Amino acid sequence: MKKILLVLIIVLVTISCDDSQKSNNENEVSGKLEVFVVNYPLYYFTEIIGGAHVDILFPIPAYVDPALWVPDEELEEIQKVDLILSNGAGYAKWMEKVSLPVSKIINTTGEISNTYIEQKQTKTHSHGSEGEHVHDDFEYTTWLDFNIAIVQAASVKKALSELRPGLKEEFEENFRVLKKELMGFNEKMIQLGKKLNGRTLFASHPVYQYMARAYDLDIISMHWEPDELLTEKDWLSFKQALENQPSDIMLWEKEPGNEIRLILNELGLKTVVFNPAGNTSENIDFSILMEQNMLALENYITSKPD
Amino acid sequence: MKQSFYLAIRYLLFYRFRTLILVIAIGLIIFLPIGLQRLITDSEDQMMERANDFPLIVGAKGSSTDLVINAIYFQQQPIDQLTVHDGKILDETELGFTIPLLAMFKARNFPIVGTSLDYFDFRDLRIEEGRNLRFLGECVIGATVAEDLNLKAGDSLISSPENYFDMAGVYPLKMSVVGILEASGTPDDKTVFTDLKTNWIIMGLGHGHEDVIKLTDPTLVINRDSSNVRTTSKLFIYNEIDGKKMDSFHFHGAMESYPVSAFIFVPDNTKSATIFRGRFEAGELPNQVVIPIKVVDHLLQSIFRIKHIFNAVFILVGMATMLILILIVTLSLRLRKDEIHTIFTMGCSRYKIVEILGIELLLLVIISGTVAAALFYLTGFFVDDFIRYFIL
Repeated sequence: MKKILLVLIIVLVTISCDDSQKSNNENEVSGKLEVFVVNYPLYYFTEIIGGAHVDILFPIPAYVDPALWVPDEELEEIQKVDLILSNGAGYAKWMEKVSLPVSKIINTTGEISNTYIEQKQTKTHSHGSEGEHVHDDFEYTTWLDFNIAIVQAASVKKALSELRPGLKEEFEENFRVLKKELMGFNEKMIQLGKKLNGRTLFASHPVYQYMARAYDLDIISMHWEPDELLTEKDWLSFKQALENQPSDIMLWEKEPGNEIRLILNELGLKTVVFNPAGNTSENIDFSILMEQNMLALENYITSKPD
Repeated sequence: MKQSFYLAIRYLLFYRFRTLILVIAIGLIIFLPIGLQRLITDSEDQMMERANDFPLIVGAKGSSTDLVINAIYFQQQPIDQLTVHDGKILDETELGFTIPLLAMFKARNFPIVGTSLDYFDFRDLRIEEGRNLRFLGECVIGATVAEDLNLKAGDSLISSPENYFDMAGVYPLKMSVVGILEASGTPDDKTVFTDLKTNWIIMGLGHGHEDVIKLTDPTLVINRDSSNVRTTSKLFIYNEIDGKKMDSFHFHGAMESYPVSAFIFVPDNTKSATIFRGRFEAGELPNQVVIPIKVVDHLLQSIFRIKHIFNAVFILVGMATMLILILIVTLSLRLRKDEIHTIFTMGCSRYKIVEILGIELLLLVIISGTVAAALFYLTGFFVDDFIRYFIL
């Protein structure tokens, strides 16, 4: 009898130990994933796909371009997260200059890295025993080609699913919703590209390369800031460019200053805001922002038919 | 008995030189086999324990022993390099993850190992003082490095140039010591850890300098046209990376072609490890994968085969010493014939005389045993050196 009791006690203790271990493991797996994202599009994709299962770390102030942001104290937090989502194509150069747990970094455009667009610009230079070299890079506003945006979103889904296999179905479903939305944008942009029918568009900044390639747009980029006044020399060279490539539209990342807009109007150019949404905008999410961008472009096309 | 001890001690002290020689001889004979056994056993344990912590190592084809010695003990054996791209191929198998290692340089005789933060998590290395790596140009040092070089967080450490006479070669980099690791009793204690990218800067694959496009000093520019600026060698390459200079640091060429000595591959589970190794065996993956514990075991077996020869030698030497000892005792008894006769004449029994001589011998053996024990204890401090000079 004593022996039976002893065996029973041992069995009960073993089962209770197993249960407590199991519940610990379940807690570990069911905890929220800490995810750091380098820009707002990835924030949006992660938010939609991950839903309540992710805590997103995006410490970049709204007024800073995330591509040019450099972390300081924030780096300690970034190093601790479960997943680091990078944009690839040389976006966020700071990632090359800091120490990160490489196994946690996912390049969301890694799969299509052979389609990156190289930057045209820059002088080469030579010094010491090295040959000519140039600090060149790729254009990085990849998500404005919505096909690439879908690839990036799929990367996010895959990374989250690997970390939380139990939630794979949910992530898959959320991704389907997002993909549908992005495909809608893609379709809309294809239509707009067709309506523009090869018309030349000027852009205040070189951020629309992927969009131009995907939707067959002819875009000439300047290096203008919305709130910076331009010099006589700048205007002169712009007028020359305009003579060579006549156009009546200039895309801006945000509303330009009044003075610039007036001069552009005098030159016969309408300013259209097409916000690439690299960073957050007040109370407007990625989806609404893109709809606004396309509406602005469509309004221009309607007002100036071929 | 007390008197016998007194007489034995007085005798040994009177012939102190002879006593000393006997103590050393007997002490060494006791110590040598057990001391060597300890060196071998401790070295084996230490090396096997380290090897056991590393699941799989991937490196260029060649000597698997050199690869493992380089990758887990950070002894900078000349091995062929892999590239970052090779690591990407391994990660794409989705059977685990890789941790890159680049061990090519030294700082004041301690190896500099470039890696990623994953290494610290993988090895469960904790920072005792300061913080972990954050930016380029920083290093975290092992406890022994900190102690030997008297460094603390906030100090700096300069990488040693490869060749002092190669003025145009690799520039030494002044690294900021940002953290000191807790002692772990492993080769990590004797290592200077940097980010992989910092190691590439030491190699000269990345550097920082003034913006050549904005240069105004005519002595710095050889010629300038619309597409290229050619500068003189006078252009100063920064040898230290701080906040202001950080922006100017850049890498040339595709990082995927940058060198890595080896990758630690951490498989998701045993099944993944088996599949992973199978892919190498089937030739689906390039380079070679090794299981460190197998390589180290094979290495130790080869090295310690000599242990049996040593043991035989020690048995023979021990027997010879014993014979000499018996001879010394016998001769000494003959030399002490008059002394023994005097003691006997004074009324001392034969039993007492045997007791005095026996205690003398016993004391000799005890003192020799103590010397051997002290040497055995000291041997423990030389295990690392033994590994470094006789195994690695």
